Amino acid sequence: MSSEYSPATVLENWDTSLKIPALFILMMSMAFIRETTLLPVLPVIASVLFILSGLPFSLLLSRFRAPAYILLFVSVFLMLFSGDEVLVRTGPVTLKLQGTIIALTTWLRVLSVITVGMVMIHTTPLTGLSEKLKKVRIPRILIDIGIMTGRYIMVIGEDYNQMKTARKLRGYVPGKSLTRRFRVIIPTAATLLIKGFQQSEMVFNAMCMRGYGNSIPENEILSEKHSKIDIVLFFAITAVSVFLVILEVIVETP
Amino acid sequence: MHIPDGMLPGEICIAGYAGTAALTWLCVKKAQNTYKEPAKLVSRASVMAAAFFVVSWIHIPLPPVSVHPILAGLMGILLGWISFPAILVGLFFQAAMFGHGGFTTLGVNALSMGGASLVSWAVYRLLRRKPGEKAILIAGFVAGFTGVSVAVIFTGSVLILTIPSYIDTGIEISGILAMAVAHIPVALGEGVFTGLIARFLLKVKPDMLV
Repeated sequence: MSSEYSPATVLENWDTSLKIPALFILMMSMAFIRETTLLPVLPVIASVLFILSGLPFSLLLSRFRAPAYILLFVSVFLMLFSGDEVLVRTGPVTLKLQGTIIALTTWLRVLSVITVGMVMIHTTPLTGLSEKLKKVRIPRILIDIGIMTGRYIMVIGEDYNQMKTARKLRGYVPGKSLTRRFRVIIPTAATLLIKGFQQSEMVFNAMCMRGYGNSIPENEILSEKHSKIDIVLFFAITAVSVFLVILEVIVETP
Repeated sequence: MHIPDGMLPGEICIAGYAGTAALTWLCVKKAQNTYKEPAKLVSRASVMAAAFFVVSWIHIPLPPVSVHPILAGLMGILLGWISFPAILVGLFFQAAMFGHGGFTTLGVNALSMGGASLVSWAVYRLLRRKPGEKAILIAGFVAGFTGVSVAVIFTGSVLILTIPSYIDTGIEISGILAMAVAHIPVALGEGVFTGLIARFLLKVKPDMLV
């Protein structure tokens, strides 16, 4: 989340409490689109947002790596088994026409929604994010867990490295045998959890003592004013989303 | 195991969010009755959510794909009710930081893995009635195994049954079974891991087990 670019783009300047709902509604409306005639619109919208975001292309490519496996599995399954009409037959393998069309449309939709999601998350600054999330009615307990988790991802990593070094210094190495590995990994993992549980309570209590959770009264958050551009962007994106769904319903209805 | 954005129809995504919202509300209410201090509830959930996030970096090659531990069973036996919201937060971080899963599918993914943690916890409680190390080892193993199995069957079913296609039921069921069979080694590995961790905690810090 949040990278600093200079000068900040329109999307980066867009108020988080309006940006997150608007882009989320857009992603949801994209998920509704199944009509092949409407699908080419999705990558166009996603590309416009991506260009506006000013994010590097390499970042976009890195986001496609994780879903590629499951997407490939589903595509192969659809191409081999979905439908009756044969597209290509090579030896024992028969590719079905309907399955191939569904697989291609799924790829288009997945890539478009992922792009919008990436734009949403990478143009959102971390500063004041918890207050903004409260504003979009995310429950307080989830925000608290989220903030502490963000902090603990780093702490667990550091603790693990320290323990690994201490373990090595004492000559306690996992080795190749599976039993030996378990004998080393289990106490390490369990100790890491025990340490984490004890530390996290202290950290959370310390945060509360420093005033965490009491920073901005709710009525003050709600009375915050948005700029005209923020509101225009919100309504424009929401209108596009609603329009997409309406078009889908019209095209789908025989 | 994580369903990416755009894969599922919008209606399923909304249904997933509705189910997740209801379960989160229920779990938080139940957990607040268990933990009287909110600090304990939040801190425990955060540590496990962070662990849940970190283990997804560990990739075990299982050709033609690679898998990673889920920890649904361990989350269940350490957190009980609060495991569901913790997994929800962990999934959000995974989606935000490296695109594992997605934002539109967050609800469905949470139902799959968070639901699996609650089922594992229920199974663990059922088997843990007998005292002793052996009982906890078995209960932990079954909880870990159940966690992976439930999540895989749920995810496979959602994927295969909800994607619009022209596939007959027999092939759909075979697809789900194939996915489940491919994950048996992961389920066994996670069962052993969960069982051994549970036994270690019983010896060292038994109050950590819910």
